[in-house]
This record gives sequence, structure tokens and C-alpha cells, in this order.
Amino acid sequence: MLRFTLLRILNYVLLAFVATSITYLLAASLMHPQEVLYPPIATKPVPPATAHAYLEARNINPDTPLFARYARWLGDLLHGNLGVTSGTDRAMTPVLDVLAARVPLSLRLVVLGTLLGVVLGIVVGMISAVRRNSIGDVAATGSSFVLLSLPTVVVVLLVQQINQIVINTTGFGLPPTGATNPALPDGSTEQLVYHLQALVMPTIVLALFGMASYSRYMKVTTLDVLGSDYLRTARAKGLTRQLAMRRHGLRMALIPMGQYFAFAVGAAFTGSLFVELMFNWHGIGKFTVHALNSADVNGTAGVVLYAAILTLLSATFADILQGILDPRIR
Amino acid sequence: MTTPGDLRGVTEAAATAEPLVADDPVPELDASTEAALQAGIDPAERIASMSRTELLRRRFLRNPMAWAGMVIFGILVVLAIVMPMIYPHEPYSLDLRADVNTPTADHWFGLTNNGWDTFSRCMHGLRVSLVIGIGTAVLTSIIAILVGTVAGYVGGKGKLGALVDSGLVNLINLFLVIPSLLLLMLFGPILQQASWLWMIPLLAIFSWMLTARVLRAMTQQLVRTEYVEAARFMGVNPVVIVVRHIIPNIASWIIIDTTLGVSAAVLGETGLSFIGFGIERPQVSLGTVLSNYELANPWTWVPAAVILAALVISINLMGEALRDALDPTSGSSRV
Amino acid sequence: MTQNHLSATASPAPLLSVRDLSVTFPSEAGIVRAVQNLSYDVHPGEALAIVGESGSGKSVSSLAVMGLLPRSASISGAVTFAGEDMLHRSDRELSALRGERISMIFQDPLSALTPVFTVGDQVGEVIRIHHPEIPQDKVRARTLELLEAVGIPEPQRRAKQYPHEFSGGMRQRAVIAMAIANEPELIIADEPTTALDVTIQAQVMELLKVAQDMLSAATILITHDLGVVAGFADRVLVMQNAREVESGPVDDVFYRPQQDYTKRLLAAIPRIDAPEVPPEDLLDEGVDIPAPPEDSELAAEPITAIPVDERPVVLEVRDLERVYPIVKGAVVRRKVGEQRAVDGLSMTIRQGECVALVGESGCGKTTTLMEIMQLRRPQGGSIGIGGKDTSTLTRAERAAMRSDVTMVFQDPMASLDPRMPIGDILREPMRVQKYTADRMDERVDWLLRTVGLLPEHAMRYPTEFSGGQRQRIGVARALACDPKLIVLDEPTSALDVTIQAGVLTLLQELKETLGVSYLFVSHDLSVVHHISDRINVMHKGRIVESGPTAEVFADPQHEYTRQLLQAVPIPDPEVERTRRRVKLEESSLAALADSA
Repeated sequence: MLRFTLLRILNYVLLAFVATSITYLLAASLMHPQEVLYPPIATKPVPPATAHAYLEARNINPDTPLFARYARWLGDLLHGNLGVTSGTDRAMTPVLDVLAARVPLSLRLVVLGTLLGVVLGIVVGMISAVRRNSIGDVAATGSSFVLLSLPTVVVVLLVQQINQIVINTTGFGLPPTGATNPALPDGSTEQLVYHLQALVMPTIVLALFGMASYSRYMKVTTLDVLGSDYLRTARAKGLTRQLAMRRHGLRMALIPMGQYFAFAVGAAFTGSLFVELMFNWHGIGKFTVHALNSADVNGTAGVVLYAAILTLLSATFADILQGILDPRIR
Repeated sequence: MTTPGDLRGVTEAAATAEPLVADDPVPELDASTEAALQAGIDPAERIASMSRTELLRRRFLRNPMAWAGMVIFGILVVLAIVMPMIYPHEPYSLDLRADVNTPTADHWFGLTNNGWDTFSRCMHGLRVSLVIGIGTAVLTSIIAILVGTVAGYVGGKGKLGALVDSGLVNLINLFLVIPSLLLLMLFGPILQQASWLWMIPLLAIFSWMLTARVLRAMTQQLVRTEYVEAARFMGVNPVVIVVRHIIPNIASWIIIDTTLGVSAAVLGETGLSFIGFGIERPQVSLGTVLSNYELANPWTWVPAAVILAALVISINLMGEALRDALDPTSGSSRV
Repeated sequence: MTQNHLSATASPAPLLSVRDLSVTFPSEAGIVRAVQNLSYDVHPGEALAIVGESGSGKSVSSLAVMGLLPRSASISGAVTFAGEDMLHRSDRELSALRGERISMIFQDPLSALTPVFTVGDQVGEVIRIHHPEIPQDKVRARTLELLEAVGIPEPQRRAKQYPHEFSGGMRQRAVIAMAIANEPELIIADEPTTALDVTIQAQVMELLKVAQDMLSAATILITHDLGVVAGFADRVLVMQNAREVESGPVDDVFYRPQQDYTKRLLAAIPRIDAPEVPPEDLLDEGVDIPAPPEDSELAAEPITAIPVDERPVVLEVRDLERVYPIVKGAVVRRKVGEQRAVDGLSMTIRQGECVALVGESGCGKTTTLMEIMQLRRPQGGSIGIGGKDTSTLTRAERAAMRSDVTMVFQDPMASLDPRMPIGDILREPMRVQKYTADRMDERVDWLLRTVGLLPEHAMRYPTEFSGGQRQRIGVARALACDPKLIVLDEPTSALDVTIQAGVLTLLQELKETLGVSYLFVSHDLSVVHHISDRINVMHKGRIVESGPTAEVFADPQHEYTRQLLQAVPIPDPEVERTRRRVKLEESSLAALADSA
């Protein structure tokens, strides 16, 4: 079991490494951060020595071969250094610092949203399957169908618009955008309250999507379980329908859910990108858009590394979960 | 969430793969009533004598959801073709004389703050979204069929086959691990400079993986069936086996997946365009229309959202009705 | 007639009484009547067998008794258990009875146990559900007792294992342990041995009988196999198409069947104890095999004229070996052992001969078959077909040889592509051999008539045919290109017994008129009894006994052959009773444990 898990993790690490490398190489060859030194961005000519130093410091010198730049980035990575932001905005912030500042905010959103979505989805999906064709089932399945037919942005807009209407009519409501209120001092109770209020709408959006897709998966796996022989055996033993489902069915239905979980974090990452953008949260998602818009090679690579590690962790977690639930793969 | 391919694939793996491949003689009985299978007498036989395609067609047409989907989709297609031809305004033409932003007889859905006509933008956007959605879905299915059937077929055939299979599986996993949205954002603007149609292969390249995975599993099951084995023992060429025995048996699933793929691609394109990495000027898509939203003036975004929702829902309704027709036991789709 | 038989053996109060039971399911094409107007009684301690072919409604009726039918089923009639109505009770009330006073054993032991709980937990659960007052350690002790009683060795260790670590027979024993845990008054066994090998089947049936005697519980045995019934039941109820056909004491039904269907059922069973009576389907008139097309090489006369020993050899297998390495590790694979699936197997088939290869699951017969069908150099030993060694073939020769060795598969549902019309299915092998279109058309015609179908069937799809007809199509496909050898892989094991008889008759006639040779692979000695000329008994990758059919049956030399023969149930209550007595003396429950 241990060996197996270690091999799986090794495989994930390898995949994460390859994914990050590919993205770095693509980003480094497709982006042109050096344009900042030339017209039309630069207004006056930059001396060659300055330009060289500028490019070298950021490891974006187009005269250095691509693979040499990659090797340098890789070497730095081994020392825990992700380089500095290298985009068209000339600031030279270490990427690690940017990530460190922004990851907690994004992670809070992703973890909270995913967790809430998964738990609600499992409950709703199971009830839908057991009480198939009841009003609750029809409502739940119908609303998740509609929800999954909408792009994230539309749902965000809907939530925001509703909040706006509430604010317009009652004068009270949730903070429309921003994770923190710049007018309030950091660390104060007011700021904390504001932040908690600000969390509500983004979390609702993420949890809604999580719930919609998870309840669908859960319904399918539960229906499979409901038709199974072992559930019939359990009932033949003298367990009532409900008890048989709770004792034997639930765990069996959860096993395939573990596989979906591995993808959940990736989906939540994408979802959080839209959410952060539209709620104006200074998290990883907003940084991603910024990095890509400003041709920031190191920043992009850093984000990919973060996403890959996130996927890796969730996949490992899913594997472990499955190992606990299912003795057959132990 | 708006990543193409996100909405489908996994569910189907659980829901449709099994019952489809195991070619059940009486597929129309509820799986939970397997007892009824044993009792499969007269009515069941009557059904068995009906061809599968005919059965599928009849079940599909009997479903009101299917009709709703087809009607809405049909209206949208007609609108997308006709409206840009007869409506006087262009997506990026400025009307500086108009003094209100809300709908008027001249500007049916009103104007944005910078003077763009929303209705025209919606119709052009719908057109682009439709082309991209359908094109991407078809291309996605082609890639997925190629990778999925090859991996599934060669997997059990000797050391070399196993090697090719595991190579393809790792390719699938790699594409799943790569944050596809990021690469789309990286490539999108660059390819846009050539033609907006590049959006199609770009989206397709990042959305075939889950379908391919399911197709691989289905092919593996089919390869183990006795009729494929029989063909192999007759000496039938592997390519012929795949084309003649395997693809026809997964065709209905592919059709469903392609249908649902259209809506996934539309959603993906919308998301990308919304954040400015998708369709760019001079083209508009529903995503770019949405990106000009003004909370103060819901007319800027609600029409686009409604059209988008109608489009995706109509496609999904048809897809789900198809799946219901094919496999009534998958309750995932009960609306 | 039914009522007479019932009252003949009736003691005053039946334990279970079913009156006018009907079950219907809604379905796509209207209402499926699964059970219609069924009535029977079961008295305390009595063993009733409900016999019927697939689709006869036999399982549905007992699920209705247990209250385990899906909600979509509508049930009418009356079911009383120990004087109390069963049909109009809540799930909670029925749950109190299930597992306590009535228990059930299901068909497929592989899926009947929840995979994520240990076997011990699942057996113990039955006790815990109904007797929560019993302390944990007592439950555990009782569980071990039960496991030991049903013949699971080392119950201490096995109780902690999960179902997937148990073999099929072992799982069925565990299910029986659950069924007898609370000493129920009625045990319903739904095809308890269908999924099991014949020797395991004998053991499990024996166990059931002993358990029934021990608890003096009434039993309902639901089965398609009249052979199993003969040794077990006191009374028999025969069902067909959702209705009762005939019922009565076991001797009456077997020796003096009243209804045609019962007679047909009995006549169709292949018997190992009566060499002179081949199984037959009384409705099946047999087929007049039309003369093959002129370009065909199939003909019986020139072959049957020559004595068997002098005929040309069709298949020659010498010292065939197939060893699978057992590997562990995902990335770094290392061999931890090997499994000798086929271990030095040799056999010869001459033209016009039918040679049977008989063995239980896992004995290597399927591997042998696959090795032959591959037409490649085997891992060890050699395979010669029509005098040519397969390891020396060129690509073209191998392709040509594909038409010489053909195969009929086990499952007629799975062996025909549902997307192809029958005509195309039959043309497929001919297309590979590059036949002209006219020649193919002519052959398709002939093939369909040969196997008892009509030429116009060529346009239809496999789903439009019944299981027996599909298997005939499979046979036709195997015949398409004048094969030298047809490999039959359990060709009848998926078929109902009356249909099986028809297919066996067809195969027999084909052999006699066309002179084709068969390699008949089967797990069932009785099936090959009448069709094969010689028998090879296979066990653990080796042939343990081989010889002419009559000799092997009359005087089996190897211990394993004797076990196999002894395990085959004989559809004759008299015979089974004497056989069973012998077996019972030999084996107590403890001995059963050893044999497993």
C-alpha cells in the first residue's frame, strides 16, 4: 500500500513537473516581455547595457537560448526561487512573494467553496437518487441542469445584480467587490467582519457550481448502488431500505466520487479565476490574468506551478480517500 | 467551471458507458428491476425486434424536453443567420446621437456606455458562438475518437501495444493536469491575430481528454467482446475491426457527447472572451458582450446572458434527451 | 390438478401460502406480466423446488414473497407466512422477518456481498440486526461458529478478509452462513449454484441440504436445473412464461410428468447415466441439411469410409505450455512467481472427429483454446493444423489458415455484432478470404438453411433472434469457409436446457453429414457425453485423463474424473437419493471443510 501510494505520488510529481516545464517553455517562447524596452512602450531609447542588465535580471533575455533560460529557471526553482515578475510593468517583485501574499486569499475561497459544494452535492445527489422523481429530486436535478448550462460569469453577475437590487432597495447588503476594505485598518475587528461578509457571495457562486456537478455525479453512482445485489442482500438480512442504504450503500456510492474529486480543485481554480476577477479579489486568479496580460514569463510559470501542486495534492488526497473507503485497492 | 469538457465526460463515464457497451437484449427495462429482465416476455420481445436506431428515434421524439431543445435551438440558429443581415447596426458602429442607453425602436436592446448596439452585438456574438461551439465539438470528438479507440484497442495487444496505450494515457493525464485555461489564455491572443477561427482547434485541443478516456474504456470493453474476438480470429484487419465493429457500437454515445460538447465549447469560449483572451475585435462573441456589463444598466448584460443560457440549455436538453433515449436508466439527466 | 397435489401432502397449516399471485412491471412496450396467478404452499420442513427456464418468473415470485421487488412492480394476490399477510406490510415490519424467520440466498455470490466490509462483519450483522441485545464478543464467536459450520477453513483468519479475497464457492458459503445465522423457518435459495463449478455446486447443494435438515427449515429452491432438483426437493413446481405448468411430489413430476412442457424439459437434459438416450428437444424437428455448394470441400462420405486412426490429422498439439508471470509493482515490475496455465498439454484431432476438452473454471481450457486460435508459435511446445506447424507460417499462410480453424463462442448475445445484419456477419470471414460477391450470396443462403433458418433472415439484425437462433448463426459463421476444425467454446452453457438440446442435435447432424471436426470445450461432462468421440479431462493445466467417451464414462481412471462424474447431478430422484446417501456417509460438514 505504502509503495503503491508513493509510486502514485511520484507519478503525479512527474506530471506536475512536465506540465510546469511545458508551460514555462511555451510562455518563454510566446511572450515578448522585452517589448517594454522598445517603442511604442518605451518613449526614449534604452542604452544596450541597461537593457541587457534589465533582461538578465529577469531571465528573459531573448538572446539567451530558450533552454538555457529554462535551465536557469529550473536551477533557481531547486533553490526555492521562482524568479521575479518580468512583465511590461517594470516592478521586480519575487514571484514567491507574490504567491505567498495571494495564495491564502485564493485558497480560502477555493477550499471553502469546494468543501461546501462537495458536501451539499453529496447530500442532494443521494436524496435525489433515493427519492427519485419526487418533487425534491425534480427541483434539484432541474436547477443543477440550468446552473451547469450557465457560464460562471453569468452566475456571478446574477448574484451581484441581486445584491445590487437589495442594496438599492434596503440600503443594506454585502460588499459588492473587494476582499477587504482599504478604508479600514488591517487586523481590526471591522476589517474581519467586512472580510467575512465579502466572502459570502464568491463562496456562494463556487459552492453552487460544486453542488450542481457533484449532485449529478452522486445521483448516478447512488442509482448504480440502488440496483446492486449487495444492497438486496443487505435488505434480505433484515435491514430496512433506509438502513441498508446508510450502512452499505453510502460508502459504495462514495468510492467513485473520489475520482471526481481529483478534478474538482482544477475546476475550482478556473472558477475562482472568474470570481476573483469579477469580485476584484487580489488573489491568484487576478494575478494570472495580470501576468498573462503583461507578458510575465516567471509569473505565469509560478502560477502553473501553484495550480499543478494544487492538482497534485487533491489527486493524492483523492487516492488516499479511496484507499480508506475501498479495501479492494489497498 | 467554464472549462470546456468540464460539464460532461465524467458523468457519462459512470452513467452511459456500461449499459451501452453491454449490449443488453432488453435495454428498455429499468436496471433496478432486473427481476423484470427475467420476466422479459412478450412486450420485451416486441421491442427487441425493433432496430436500435428506430427505438432511439422514437424515444427521443416522445420526449417533450427534446422538442423544447430543438425548437429553441432552431429559433436561435435562424436568428443568428437572419438578424445580422437585416438589422441596421453593426457591432462596433457607434451611435453618438442616441441619448438613452435603454431599448428604443432603433436600438432594440439599447446601447452600452461607449455607444455600441447591444442587439447587433448579441446576434453577431450568437453567430460566432454557434460556429465555434459546433466546430469545436466536432473536432474534439475526432481527436477523442482517434486517441480513445487506438489506446483502447492496442492496450491489450502485446508489449508494444501496452506501451502505446500507457503513452496515450499519460498524454491524457498530462493535458488534464496542465491548467488548460492558462494555456488557452496564452495562445488565444496570438492565434487571434491570424483568424478568429483558430479558436476552434485551440479549444478542441484542451477539451478532448475526458471523452477520450471514456472512449478508451468503452473500446477496451468492446475489444473483449466475443464478436470482436471472432473478427480477429477470422483474420480481419485491426483498422477494419475498429471502423466496422467498434465505432458503430459507440456511435450513439459519440453523438450525445458531441452534442453536449457544443454547449461546453460555447461556455468555454464565452469565459475566455469575457476575460479578454478569446474573440477580439472586429469579431464579437457573447462573452465579449458580457464583458461590457454595467451593473447599473442590466440591459448591457441580461440579453446576452439570456441568449447564452437559451443556447446552452437547448443544446443540453437535446443531448440529455438523446441520452435518456439511449439509456433510460441513467437518472443523471432527469429534469 | 394443482390443488390435488397440494392437498395430498398438506398438513393442516402451511408455513407459507401463496395464492393467486400476479406481478407486473411497467415497461417501454406496455406491461410485462412477470408472474400470473401463481399459487403454492410450503409446509414446515418441506423442500419445494420451483423450476423454470429464463423468463419463467420463478425468481420474481420469490422476491415478491420477500417484499424485495422494486417499487415499480405491482403485486396482487395473497401471500401469508405463518398465518400473517406479507403483501400489505411496511418495509419495517417485513425487515423484522427478513433474515430472522425467512432468509434468502441469491444467485451471484460475486456481487451479493458488500465489497467494502469484511465477511465476518457481514455475517455478524445478521445477528446484530435482529438481536441487538447479544454482546459483541458473543456475536463474534457465533460468526466464527457459523463460518466453520458452512465449511470455511480457518474461520478466524477468513472472517477478517474481504469478499474479493474469497472464491465464488467460498462466498456462497458465507451467504449461506448469513442465511442460517438466525435459524430461520424458511430459506429461499434463488439459483444458488448457477454461477458455480459443478464440483463446487455439489458441495454447496450438500451444505444446503444439511443445513435444512439441521434447522428443519422449509426451503424453496429456485432453479433451471432439474438435475439439482432431483436430489433435493420433496415437491416440484414447474413454471413457464410466468405461469405454473405442473406441480406435485418430486417422483410424480419426474416419472409421470403430465404436461408436454415438463416432458420436453426432462427429455432435453443430457444425462451421464443413460448413454443410449441423447438429449432432445421434443419440439425441434431437426434440420435437413441441404447439400453444400459445389465449390465446398465439406462432405462426410469420403471421410467416414476411412477408419478414424487412418484419417488425416486436423489438429496436433504437442507439449503446449503457457506460463503467466505473476508480477508485482507498478513501475518496477518484478516477477514474484508464475502461473502455469497450460502445462505440457498434448492432443490430436483427426478429421471428422469430435474431441472434448472438459474441465472446471481455471483449469486452463480457455488458455489452450486461445493458444490454438492465435495460430502463432506457442510459448512452449507446438501446434500443428492440417499438418502445418503454426510457428513456421508466413503472414499469407496464416491469413489463409484463419478459415480452416473457426470458433463458436459461449455467449450468443455477445458473439454477434448487434450493429450488423446477419448476412454481413456471415460474409465477414468470406470477405477476409476474398470470395466473390456471388459466391458469398450463395453461401449465405446455404448456411442459413443449414442451421435451420430462412435465407430471408439475412437482412435482419441479431437482436431480432432468440438465444438459440443466435447460436445457430454463430455456428453458420464458423462453417462459412469450409473449416477443417471448429472450436466450440462452451457453445451451450448460456442456453436454456431445451434450446441447448436443439443446438447439440444440430452440431451432431453437421458432423455426420458434413464431416467437420470439433474441439468441444466444456465444463459439463453431461453435455459432451453424446456428441464427443473422445474426451480429455483437464485439471490444473494438464490433461489428467483421456480416452474414448464410453470408456471414460464407464470406468474413469483418474480421481479427478471420478469427482467430476460424481458431482454431475442426475435428473432422477431415485438415483440421486442413493447417490446422496453415499456422499453423506463420506462427508460430514467437517469433511466438507477439508475438501474446500
